[in-house]
Amino acid sequence: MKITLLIWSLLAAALSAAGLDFPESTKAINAPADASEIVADFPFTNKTGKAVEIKRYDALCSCVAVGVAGGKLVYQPGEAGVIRAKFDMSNYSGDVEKSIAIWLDADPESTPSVTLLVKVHIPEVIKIEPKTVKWDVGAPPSPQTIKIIVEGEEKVNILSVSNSNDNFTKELRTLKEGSSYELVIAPKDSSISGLGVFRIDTDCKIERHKVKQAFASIRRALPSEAAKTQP
Amino acid sequence: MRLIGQLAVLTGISLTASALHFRISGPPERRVSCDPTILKAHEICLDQVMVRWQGKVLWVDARTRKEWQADGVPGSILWSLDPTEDAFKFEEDAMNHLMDEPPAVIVYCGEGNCGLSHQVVEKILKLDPARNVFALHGGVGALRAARMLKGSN
Repeated sequence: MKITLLIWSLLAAALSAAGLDFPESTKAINAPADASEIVADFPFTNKTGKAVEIKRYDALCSCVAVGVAGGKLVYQPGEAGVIRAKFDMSNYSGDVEKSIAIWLDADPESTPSVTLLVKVHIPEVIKIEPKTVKWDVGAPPSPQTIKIIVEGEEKVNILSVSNSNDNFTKELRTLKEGSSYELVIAPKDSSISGLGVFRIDTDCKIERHKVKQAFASIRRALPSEAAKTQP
Repeated sequence: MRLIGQLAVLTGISLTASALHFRISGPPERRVSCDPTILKAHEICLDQVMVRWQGKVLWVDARTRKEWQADGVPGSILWSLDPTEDAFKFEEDAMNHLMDEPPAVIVYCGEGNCGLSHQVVEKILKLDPARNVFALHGGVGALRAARMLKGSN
């Protein structure tokens, strides 16, 4: 019986010790504004006393391709390897966090043994503040201003601003050529609710920053608000 | 032979204990647990959404178009960060829905530890910082357990 219990305990111990050691499970990357792909390497070592198999890895995002260097999935005690994550950043700017889950050996589906994190900062290049200007229905149609600031050293000129809704007027003011602008918007008739989409075209050399979008909305009164105004 | 017999006895004891536990405690809990005290900023539990707004919120699916079409929450809109998608279209679509003044916007993404919903939350807050915008804790797993996804009823 002692031998049986010993085998039982060894089996249990082996299962609980399954794991790979990642000295760095979080990586912070400052990417250039034109970065379209970022690569993050996560080296690891099998510090357990048994072979560990990487059963599955998933970045939980179609924008990340995860792989194990050399395609090797089973690591003997003391063996080292690298998890490589390639991020397609073409749709991102600002601060982005991506995690990668790794399932080892008998990990249940809901709880991968390892979660790696990549924190990426990509400069915005053109900052729009605020993205939306709003009026309530019936409010005075006073103009509101959207600031357009070029961040970084490279100058960016605004080529045109188009507007999807004729009920809004727009005026582009240049404060500093290539770096600072104001878009002044006002409703012609604030009694009509509606959304205006303003497309700002620039000569930015980075394709994904070339066009920006801002909004103007005259919001409808909520039924509860409308009821309050009724006698 | 004796060793095999003893292993069989231990396995039998384990199975009996599991069966007893199942009988007493019932089947395993499939609900996604969510403790409001440990939520991240702009994160919310499904229970809170149901209590505060009875689920009558603007649901935003941050998964891929294919996943959204397969089992997105009925009435939800898509805002995928897939680089092949038109990000301007998602902004415009969200703004059009925000014109209806939903009391809250709840963004959900894939199973478990999915950061996409938080990124979409940030994008919606940039459009309108005054909104109640939250990422759903547990993502689509929480919605599936509550049978709120398309085709789950």
